Amino acid sequence: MKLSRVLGHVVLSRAIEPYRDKTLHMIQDVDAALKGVGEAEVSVTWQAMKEGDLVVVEVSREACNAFDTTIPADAVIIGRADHVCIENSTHRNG
Amino acid sequence: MRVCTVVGTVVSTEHHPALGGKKILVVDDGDGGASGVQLAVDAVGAGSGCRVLVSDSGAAGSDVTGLQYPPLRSVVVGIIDESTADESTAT
Repeated sequence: MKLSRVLGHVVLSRAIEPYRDKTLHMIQDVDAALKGVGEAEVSVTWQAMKEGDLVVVEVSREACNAFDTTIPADAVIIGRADHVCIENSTHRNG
Repeated sequence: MRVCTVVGTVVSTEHHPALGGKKILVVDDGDGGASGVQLAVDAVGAGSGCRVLVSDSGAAGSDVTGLQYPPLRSVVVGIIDESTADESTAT
């Protein structure tokens, strides 16, 4: 699992059946200072998040298990991070 | 499995049911943060500063959540008291 920040959302005009009614977000990994690192990527989300939210993201084959029916996804947001404490720094979402 | 150090925690009140009642730890696997902040669900009561063993298997996720098919796989499965090998070469 990793900590990422929501950059925005993605809308699909056509999609395979498992992606119908699913919300997708554009996310970017963050470092210990909660600054963005690496490239932006797309993740399905268990629940719609807001732009700027820090989120818990599962990036593995287990991501497909986040919904009642299996979805062919390898990244899924499974939680909103309200409070992040890393060593001597503390961050609150929002 | 990875040897990591617990460096923090994440509080999430709005989360997937699989994370219900679980402590989310920030773990450092010694890669210098190149891959961003890494997280794992705690199964052993580890705290900040602990050296821990992190399993990235679906079975570990299943064990800690009680779900047959959980949507997570990174789990702190042990606290390391002592190790004799050079951890920088462990995978």
